Amino acid sequence: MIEILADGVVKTFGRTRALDHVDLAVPSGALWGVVGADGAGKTTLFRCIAGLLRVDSGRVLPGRAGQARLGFAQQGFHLYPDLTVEENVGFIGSLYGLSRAAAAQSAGELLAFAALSDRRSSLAGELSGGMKQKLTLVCSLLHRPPVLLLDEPTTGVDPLSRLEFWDLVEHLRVGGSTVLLASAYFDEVERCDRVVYLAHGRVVATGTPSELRGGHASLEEAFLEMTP
Amino acid sequence: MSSAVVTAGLTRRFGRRTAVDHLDLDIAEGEVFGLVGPNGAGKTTLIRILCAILRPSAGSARVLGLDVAADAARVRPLIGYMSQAFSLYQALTVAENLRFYGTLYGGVPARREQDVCRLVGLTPDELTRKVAELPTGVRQRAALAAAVLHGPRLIFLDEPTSGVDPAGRRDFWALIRELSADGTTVIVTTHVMAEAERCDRVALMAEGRVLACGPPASLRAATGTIVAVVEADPWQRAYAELAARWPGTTLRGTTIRVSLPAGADPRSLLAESLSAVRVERIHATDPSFEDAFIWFIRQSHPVMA
Amino acid sequence: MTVTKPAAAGTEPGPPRVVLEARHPGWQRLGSMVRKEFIEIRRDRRTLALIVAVPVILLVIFGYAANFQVQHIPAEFAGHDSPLLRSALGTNGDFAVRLGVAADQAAAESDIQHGRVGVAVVVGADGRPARVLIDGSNLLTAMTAERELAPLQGASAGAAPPVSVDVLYNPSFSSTTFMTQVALVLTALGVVRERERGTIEQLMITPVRKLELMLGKTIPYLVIGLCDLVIVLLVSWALFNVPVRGSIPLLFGEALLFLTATLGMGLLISTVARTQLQAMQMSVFVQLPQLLLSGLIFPLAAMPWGVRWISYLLPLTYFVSVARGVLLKGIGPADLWPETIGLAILAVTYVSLAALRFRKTLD
Repeated sequence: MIEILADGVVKTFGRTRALDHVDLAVPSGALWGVVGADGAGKTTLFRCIAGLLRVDSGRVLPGRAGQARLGFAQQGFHLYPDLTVEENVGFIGSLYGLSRAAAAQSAGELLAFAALSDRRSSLAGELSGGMKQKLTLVCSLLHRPPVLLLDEPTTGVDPLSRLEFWDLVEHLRVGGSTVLLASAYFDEVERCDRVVYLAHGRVVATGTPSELRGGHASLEEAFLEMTP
Repeated sequence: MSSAVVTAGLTRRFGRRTAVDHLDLDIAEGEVFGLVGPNGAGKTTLIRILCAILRPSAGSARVLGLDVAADAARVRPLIGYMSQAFSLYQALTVAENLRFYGTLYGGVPARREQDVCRLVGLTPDELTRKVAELPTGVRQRAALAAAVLHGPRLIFLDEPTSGVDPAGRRDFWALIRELSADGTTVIVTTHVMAEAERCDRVALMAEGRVLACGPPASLRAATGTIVAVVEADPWQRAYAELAARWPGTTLRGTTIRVSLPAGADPRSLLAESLSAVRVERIHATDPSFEDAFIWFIRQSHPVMA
Repeated sequence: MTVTKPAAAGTEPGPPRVVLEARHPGWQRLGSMVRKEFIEIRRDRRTLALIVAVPVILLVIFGYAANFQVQHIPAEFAGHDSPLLRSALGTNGDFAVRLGVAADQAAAESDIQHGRVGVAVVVGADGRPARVLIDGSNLLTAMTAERELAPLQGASAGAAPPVSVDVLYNPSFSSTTFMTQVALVLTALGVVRERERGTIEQLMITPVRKLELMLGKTIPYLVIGLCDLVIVLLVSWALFNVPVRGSIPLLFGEALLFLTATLGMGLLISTVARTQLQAMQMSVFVQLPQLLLSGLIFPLAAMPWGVRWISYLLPLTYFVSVARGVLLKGIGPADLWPETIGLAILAVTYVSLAALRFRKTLD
């Protein structure tokens, strides 16, 4: 069953075509990666899939109708800097319909995983950049969503934390969640079941990491070659 | 060789939190010096103190021979700073931004502006475009241009390649090397280990302290470990089994890396953990810089692994 | 979301996947949003100061500033003379009573309108004061006169009908406008601030509904507006003896309608403004006409129709009439039908317009 879908998606901003007939279909339980240069359209694609932007044509899943089962860790910081970590987490949890008890339990585990437990009472605005990223990820996972969109969640995060992130995401995957991950780190992309290469709003290549690596020494080399 | 930066017992507190904790550093002129560490380690705070925009709570820091606390005003014209966030005005063109920053430093001759633009690789067309319209890679280069416009002897780059694709990162580092060749001292923070390895020396910071400092090669050697590189199928299971038993386990792509004492035999040591999976390849190698980084951090925080 | 799958063997003990849903997610979301807004308001010291201090400070400034300077307010009698009252007013140093008597109330009003007198007492054939007219356009005069003449109501004891004190062109209740100014601006800012900071993108991807979002951002400021009304009434009563002759619940009921309309305007502004600065500027642009055209300072009757139609678009116009009526004249709901309907129509209109423009997507 396809959990994440982009079917002939077109999105234009003014005169720029940000997405040009993008096709993508991620089956349940799979982990797919999206790579592309800055401005290739990764964030726009994710926002369309999450129902945050309307598509000009084409179809998406989960879209606006499926927001309750979707977790979306967006690029940048979109939480409340003047609320504490605990308050942010509690607030987001309630938006997803979690009861107080459930939200507290879920938050407790996730914050421990993310090594943020001792910063619960800190104002979110006071956290360092990487901690904010981790908090964003925690908030997107609170309701243990079956579908997960991660837009460059580890950019600007140190290697050890990136590993911890990965463990967090793996746990959800093990539970059956479907994940679409945009990443600038090729070693993360290598762990995906399939990879989609986006450039100038178009899908340039799709395949397993080994297929895409082809004869090159690394995935990174292969993509450098493929860049139009 | 003289020192570009010397700190002695440098400390900075914010309320109850100590961001920089009795730091001792000595950075030589003309060096490309890397600062790495987990988030919240104090790297940005340290840089702000050295740029004389934040005052130390205790200890001292001398930049290019001047004390940052006492001679802040004299320090500032000598240094350049490229911050993590964008420091250029989005609604202005690159050229307008450069002119603006030039005037802040007392006016920069047109010749210098041209030289800098050529150095960072900004095309005349890019100069006329508004910053907001340019891709990240070009914006970074423009920001670098603004930072070096006034000819500073020391520049701070705070995660300069954040959000830039690999090709752009490569070009940027070539630039850094060029600047250093001219005698400029470059202090750069990064989370990308491959970049850290390009520095002359690196300081690994955590919780306001320096855990290790030296050329990347010697940091790698200092761990006293070797790394067992394991390729197995299914890799997820292999990673889970190994991580459960060996605290020094990390993942790189689908390859598992396990930190073992020098001289150990990976095959025999890890055999038990790998019994349930099919091992495709297993061999020992010297630790990479990332391995060393993780090893040092975990050493200081045994709980974190 | 009640499926549990056992964690894969060998992985670290993972969090169980049983997650309980709230019983009424919509209400929970709304409650959450309102609570979050209040926390943010509480932490924003400057806004807090704005909400509490501004109406009170302005009220006090205007109130007390009026105290010192007014003396010898020209006053006159209309209709009939009353030697008793004349001597009473005459000994009161604040008034300079004219000789002669104006023909009737209309003449007195004309005198006030043209600034010849500041106070006129309309005396009935029985020698009792039937009506007192005060020129409210001069704030200082009005406040002083009001205070000094309050005992007059007591003077007509017994069977005589109470003397009504009409403060014409009544700015002393401009304190109510401060309350609305604060509430409107904060509402507009509230939504725009989320947009500016990027938190709105986080809200939009959750299952929260458009209605919940709108209500969540408005209810806190509705509550604050009503609290401000309480504060303003208390201060007015305590310091300046402003009477509350009518029904308080009625006043609050009308205030609720009035605030809904005003906050509807605020929401509408928030759908148009892109930055907080723009939101503030648009709010001011909307508030200024309200001050000038609502009948607060300049009487509606004196406005040419070319401009007067705007007054009827502004919620404050109706509420000024309501406040005046309820506080001073003690009139009941039956007499306030036109204003109530006017406020209701405006409330529905502005809120609907805002709802139409409000989107749960970025574009």
